[in-house]
Amino acid sequence: MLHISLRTSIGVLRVTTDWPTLIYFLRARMHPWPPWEERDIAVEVRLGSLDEAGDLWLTGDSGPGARPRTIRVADSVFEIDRDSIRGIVPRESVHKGVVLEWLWYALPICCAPDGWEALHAAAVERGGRAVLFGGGSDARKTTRALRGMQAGDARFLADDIVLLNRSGLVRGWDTTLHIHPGRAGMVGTEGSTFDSAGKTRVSAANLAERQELHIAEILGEMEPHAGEGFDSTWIPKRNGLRGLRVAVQNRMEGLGPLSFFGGDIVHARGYAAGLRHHGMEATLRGLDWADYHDCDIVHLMHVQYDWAQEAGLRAASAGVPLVVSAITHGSPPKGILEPLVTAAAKVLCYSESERAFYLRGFPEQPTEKFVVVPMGVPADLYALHGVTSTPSVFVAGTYSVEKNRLNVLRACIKLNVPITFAGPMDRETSQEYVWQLREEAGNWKGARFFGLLHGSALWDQYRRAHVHVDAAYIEPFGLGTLEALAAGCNIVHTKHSWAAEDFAQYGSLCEPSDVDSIVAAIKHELSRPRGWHGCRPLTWSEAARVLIPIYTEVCGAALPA
Amino acid sequence: MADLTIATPFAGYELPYLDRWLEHLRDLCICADPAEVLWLDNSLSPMFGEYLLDASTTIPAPVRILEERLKIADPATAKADLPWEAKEVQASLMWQRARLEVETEWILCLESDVIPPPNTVELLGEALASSPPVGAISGTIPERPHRVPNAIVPMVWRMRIGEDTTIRGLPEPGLHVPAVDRYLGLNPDCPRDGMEIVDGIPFGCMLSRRSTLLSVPLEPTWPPCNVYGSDQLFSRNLRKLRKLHVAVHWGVRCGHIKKMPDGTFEDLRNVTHIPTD
Repeated sequence: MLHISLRTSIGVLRVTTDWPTLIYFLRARMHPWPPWEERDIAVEVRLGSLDEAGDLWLTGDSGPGARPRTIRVADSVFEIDRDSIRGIVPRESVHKGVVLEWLWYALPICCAPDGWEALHAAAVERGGRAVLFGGGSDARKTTRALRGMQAGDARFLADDIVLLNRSGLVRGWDTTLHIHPGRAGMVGTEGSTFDSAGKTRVSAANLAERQELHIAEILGEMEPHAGEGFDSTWIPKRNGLRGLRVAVQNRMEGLGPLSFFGGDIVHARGYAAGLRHHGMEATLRGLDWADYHDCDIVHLMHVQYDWAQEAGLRAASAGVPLVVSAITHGSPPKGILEPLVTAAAKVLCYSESERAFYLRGFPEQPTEKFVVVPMGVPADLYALHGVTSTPSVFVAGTYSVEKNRLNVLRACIKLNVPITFAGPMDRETSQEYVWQLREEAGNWKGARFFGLLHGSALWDQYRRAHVHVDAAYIEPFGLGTLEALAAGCNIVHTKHSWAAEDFAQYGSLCEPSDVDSIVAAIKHELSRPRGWHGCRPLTWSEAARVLIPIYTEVCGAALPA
Repeated sequence: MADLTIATPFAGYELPYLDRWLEHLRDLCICADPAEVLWLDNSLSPMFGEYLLDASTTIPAPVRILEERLKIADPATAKADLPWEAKEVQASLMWQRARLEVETEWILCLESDVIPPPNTVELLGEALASSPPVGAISGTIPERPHRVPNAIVPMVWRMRIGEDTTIRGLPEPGLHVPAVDRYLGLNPDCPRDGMEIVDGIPFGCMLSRRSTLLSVPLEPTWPPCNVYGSDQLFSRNLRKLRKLHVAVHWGVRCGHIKKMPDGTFEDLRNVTHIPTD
């Protein structure tokens, strides 16, 4: 456990936590925070005291001499290590995002100065004064605030958390709106995160000028934002089931000492997050996980590798319904695919050509076993659609021979078009390969080599690029291409991909071993305006919705009547 | 990261801002939990030595202070008053000494005018550990370039890789001095996060392995060529001799305290832009 001071836009925050949470916290939450206070607020957050009932308590105060406040943490948020009395969020924890949400909600309570109370409400500014909309969960607080804004006479002040003091001053805490994705476009720019109630965070376009206003009226019933027994709806309930319990199983880390980050990891995370938006209890599990008592169905990534087969067969032999995402690399022989294809109730393919490959290879299996499902992209990427880019090329993916970065670089040098690479470098051959790339670039100044990028840093690169190129020798799908497409980049995709036919409709295909073919494709895509060209990729939430009837069917068939 | 040493050389002129720097070092130590903090005192001043000794008790990690006796000029002399080459030779010798003294696997080279964010070691360590082609990684240190007035650029260099030349442009095969181009720049704005391979990084806030640091010669600058420092030569040696790259982490945004001509200190915080080529 770590003791650390964070300098955030609201002041200094002292937290006791573990590294995975902290890093995630820093990356995800530092920037969107509203500048709430000018002065520093020191918040001591101790994840330390465990009461007799086994609940963890969190204590914070706004500085020396201030009254400390205490909130109970529901034990569904943390894996509580009862021996050492500390809250631990494991690296693989599905609740990591929830912990962040929780910290987000808990902070105003802990660091509100004396005399201020945090209310569960939405607020707008009308005529220089604040109007508050109160009520419990799903009391249509935000909707009513939005209606006021759409009528034109109100401006957004805060959503979900409003601070109110005894002299009637109102201060907005959370200056983003939490609304259902479909309504996002009505009020502003859709943000990065979904909370567990399936709402997205939106930056309001019509913000109040001042963040501290006198109160005018309160509409609806007010309730404290949180207090003893704090247990908002966004905490997934273990006991009150809201849907099927799905374990999305994949390699969580690399199989060796390195991370081997890849599209399958993004894919598994995306599905799990998307399923949670629909109220399902989706958890991400590592390959060695075998405790099936709290799940109704296992969704396994990969069909052809030993390590996936071992995990899949273990689940199948335990009698748990199994769905497998194919993610086929190349055209492996039937013998390699057979164990999992036979054991699985459904095999999910990502293109018609991939499905056709399985239908050809397994004529004895029922055709309805092989289903084509969509991939998804983070909703953040849509905000990038239509931005002004520079005439440049971006390549997202691993630095490895099979991904064939070298020929793309050669093509760009030939065209004298700047190119940016980003991706993990931890494959065995990466060291030599990165060296080759830099040797090839020599003194040509157009090439940039980034490491693995996540979140806004990656979106930044998509935003700047005009064309995204994936010229891999083997590509099961090409998630990077889909993300680039969603961000509005023109795409050049390899012919040796199961999704080549799909991507050919919206961009250009290239022969990876032929530099001239890559040159021609890039040239063509640079000459076209940037855009979706008729394709609008699904978000992970939308993609995961397709899985629900498949799961239901599989469970219905497998469970005793 | 327990197997880490944070090494800092001191020249003696840091007193006006040392308290502030130490505060940030404390935050860094709380966060990074180093096995040791190594201070090289090159001030030749007993008073400064006493100050360091007092300060060491407030650092939440074991501090080892070594006295160096390299200083050419009086300790009160400001850095700006020393000849450029003399400073570079000293800096290089200090890092030579540091890398020999360090006993841990990881070393964070931290200069006394660089203010690192508390999560520096975590971010740099994570990036370095997951990128075997990279031998050393630096935080983003803002600097005022001579050529662009009112700009603050990151201390990251682009060098011509193939041709080693002297300052006069005459190729001398035995000399092996890289031609440093200028501060890096292609994109109009600074990336917000992520690790990028570059040609040259400074020692100001640099994480590397002890074995990597020991595996290449640390050369001071070559006197006739006043365009490159020991750090640029280190980056170049790493690439030439070990086939390892150096990288900058755009998410680790350090502060940089600069002495102004009028004797005051300026605290550079943010990179305002990267000049385009």
